[in-house]
This record gives sequence, C-alpha cells and structure tokens, in this order.
Amino acid sequence: MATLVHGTTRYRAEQIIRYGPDPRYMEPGGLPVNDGFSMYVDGGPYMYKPPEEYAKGKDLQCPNEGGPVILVVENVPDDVLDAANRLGILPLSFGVVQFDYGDGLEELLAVWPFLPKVIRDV
Amino acid sequence: MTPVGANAIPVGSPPIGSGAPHSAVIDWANYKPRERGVLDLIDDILRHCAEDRIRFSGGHGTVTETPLPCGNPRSIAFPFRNSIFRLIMARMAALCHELSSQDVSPYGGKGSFTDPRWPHVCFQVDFMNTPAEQRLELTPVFSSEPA
Repeated sequence: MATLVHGTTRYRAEQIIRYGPDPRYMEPGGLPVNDGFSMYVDGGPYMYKPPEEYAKGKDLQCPNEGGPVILVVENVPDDVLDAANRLGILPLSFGVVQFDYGDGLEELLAVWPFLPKVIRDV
Repeated sequence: MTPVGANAIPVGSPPIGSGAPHSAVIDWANYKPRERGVLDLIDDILRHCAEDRIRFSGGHGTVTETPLPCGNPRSIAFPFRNSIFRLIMARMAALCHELSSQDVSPYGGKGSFTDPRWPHVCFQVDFMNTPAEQRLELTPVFSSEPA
C-alpha cells in the first residue's frame, strides 16, 4: 500500500473526494481532453515540481477556488498501484503514479469510496 | 548508472555507455523497461542521441530519430501510452532546471542541459506539452561543431 498526494485547489480537492478523479477534467478555458490523473508518492521523490508548487500554480490560475491544498489519499492498495504500472515503466521509485483508462484508473475508481482521504493545507 | 537528474550526480559517475545493459540502438518495438522505468528510458534516449549522434523528436504516438547533421529520419511507434511521453517531456524541463538552472515550464518551452556523465554532452530541448499539442525535439550539441 502507499499514500499518494495531489496538489490542487481546495474546491477541486473536495470535488475529487466526493466524485473521484475525473481524467476529463477541463481547466477553466481549457480543452476537452482525456488526460488521466497524476499523483505523487507521499514524500517523493519528486521528479518534477513538488506537489505544493503544483497546488500554488493552480491557485494562481483559479484564485477563487479556496486556496492551494494537498489531497492525501491513504492506503492505496498494491493491485491498484500495479495496474497503473502494467508495463513496468512507472515503478513507485519514480515517485509518480499516473492513472489512465486501461492503466489503473478503473481500479482506483472502484476502491475510491473506501480510501481514507485528507486535505492538507499548503 | 545513476539516472540523469535523479538527485545529485556523484562525481565520477559512470560515462554514458557503461553500466546498465543496453544496445546502441533503442529497440522501440520490443523495449522492456528496467528497474528504474522511465528514468532508464530517458537515460537510454540521451545515450542513444550522444553515442549515435541522433536528433530525437516525437509526439502523438511516434518517435523519430534523425542522424545528425542531416541524415534520413526514421519514425517508430512509441510503445507506451501518451501520458508516459508527456512525463518524459516534463522531465526534460526538470533537467533543464536541475542541471542548468533554467526555468523551463513542464508544459513547454526551450532550454538546454549538459549530461554530467562523460562525455558531458549538451542537449537542446524544444517541446510543447499541453493537452492540445505534444511535441519534443531533443538535439545533442557537440563541442566540435559550430553553434
């Protein structure tokens, strides 16, 4: 099992907790896409900007969404993590878990209601 | 081999072309990820570009290798989902920051970094990594060539 984190705004974090990750989420003014859902392993390594920076960036883009936060999802089961890494290209040691349709997203959504979730202030 | 950009590169780290098993040419159709996954893949791409003097470009499910300075390009299907290619591009931006202190957005831009491993090849990166457009051009620059 692993604890995963996602930097975002408070409004979006609350929506994600309630409805689950939406890989078709469209940024304000953005394009309709199917972009998957990315999370970091809590504590890193962070091969890109740390989640706090992503949260601050989204807050800058959307300052009316309650401020930057970290969505923390605990106890993500190994079979869900494995499904996001079917071909072995994204091991947990990389620090990024990328959920796409056909690559872990369905498995994540199936257990989503049962996973402990916390919103951490930035 | 220490993956490029995966934390600090120790002085005296192995040169490109030593360490992890690899072939000079990336066998894209049969590529099997190793222990470090996408980090190994990025190392393989950098090594291939440096050793074989290849410009690497890609986007929308295809990668293209062009021998420098003006050889015939060879295009191959990228064997992983598109989000992996987007992670590779964003990692290029992170390498520009970590190795050259350049502020390049993970969503696109231009930058450069020098591989700290021998022979210290400089790479120029030009990419666009947005939902609407994804393209990458990675070009090794050799010091004996005019800029």
